[in-house]
Amino acid sequence: MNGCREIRDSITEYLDGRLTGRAMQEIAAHLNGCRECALECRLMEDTQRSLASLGPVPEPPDMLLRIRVAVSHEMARSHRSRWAGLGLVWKNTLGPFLLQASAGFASAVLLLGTVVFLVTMFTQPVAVEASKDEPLGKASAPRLLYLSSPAVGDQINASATPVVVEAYVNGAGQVYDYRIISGPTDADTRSEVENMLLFSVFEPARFFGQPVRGLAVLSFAGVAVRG
Amino acid sequence: MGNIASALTFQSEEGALVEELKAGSEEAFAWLIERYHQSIYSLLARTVQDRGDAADLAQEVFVKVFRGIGGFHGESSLRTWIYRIALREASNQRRWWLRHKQQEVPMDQPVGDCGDGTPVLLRDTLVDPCDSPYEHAAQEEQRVRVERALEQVPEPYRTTLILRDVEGFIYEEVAEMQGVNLGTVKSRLVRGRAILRRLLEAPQPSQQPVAVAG
Repeated sequence: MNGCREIRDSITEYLDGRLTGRAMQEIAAHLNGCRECALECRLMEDTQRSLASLGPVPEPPDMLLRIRVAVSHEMARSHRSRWAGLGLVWKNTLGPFLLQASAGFASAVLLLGTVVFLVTMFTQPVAVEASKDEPLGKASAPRLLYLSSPAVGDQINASATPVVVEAYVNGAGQVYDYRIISGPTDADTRSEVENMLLFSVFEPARFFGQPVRGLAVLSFAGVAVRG
Repeated sequence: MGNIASALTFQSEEGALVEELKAGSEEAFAWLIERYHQSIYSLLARTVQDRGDAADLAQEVFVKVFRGIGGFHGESSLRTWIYRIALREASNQRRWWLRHKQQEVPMDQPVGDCGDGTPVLLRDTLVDPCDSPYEHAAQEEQRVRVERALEQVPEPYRTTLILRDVEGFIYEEVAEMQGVNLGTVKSRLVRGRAILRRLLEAPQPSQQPVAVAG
């Protein structure tokens, strides 16, 4: 950058610090050696300083109050207009349909409520008791309820294998015949088995709920308790 | 790093203020008015043709800030946005003044009265009534001289000088407020300072000075 003209064109930016460091140095160096440019710069600086020293223009004493009042009025006006605007939107859109919409909604609530009420009142399921349930068409076999005789006899106790017996049960739940299908079949064992079957109580077989003769398979084994 | 942190903090604080203003917070608007009423009034007083209009214009500026805050989306700083509104009001006022009242304005033209019938002259409004003439006579005289000279600088140079040298805004802010590019700001400053310097160097007229609307 050389020449007084270029320097003077840049004095404004130089005073405002808008130039690069290198440019600032060049101008500073020129001003150190050029009296006319230095004077120009000083005069421009004085002008800038005069403006900077002006400060604010004194305002009227009530300026702040006047501004606050003006803004407050505008705030109040905008609140009124906002509510008025909402009212207008309501009047032009939902307002005309309000009666019909309300009636429809009330009817829908009433209808739905009635339906729910009826369903809950008259369609409650009955609790199922599975123990007394008697499936239709199914036959049931005789079922041992309990043995009223004393403990298992000595022969059965001594047997290494259980004694498996087919017991023929009548409609009254009593054994009227039997057959040993597994285990010892000697006379003593047969005597013990007969004794136990004689005093056993069975639930008879049932067919369509009616007691009928049936066949029960029992297994007798000895129980040794070691103390 | 500290500058970035402070800039980010400032932006987040301004963002919170803007949100409150948009929500219509009276406290936020009270703070805003308190913060900017003096500087906006000063700007208007120096940029309009008739300084008596500055008070009304200042009111109008803040009313427009209230109305327009909903449309402010942070494209500039809040301060820049407010100053733009003020400059627009001043420009409209000058145009209206040129259309309806284009005439020479003597410095001794009355602009009001003291309440007891004594007229207040335009030259008197340039004087800060708080300063004692015995203690600050030289400074006051200089200040009045600069104010008078500034009033004679034509637009848009005058506004550019006020924003840069009186209000202290940087070039970029001045460009944004005036809606021009940086090169225009620089050229206006060069020209404006040159005009003002010539006016200040001119001998003080003994006759009635004339402020030409420009």
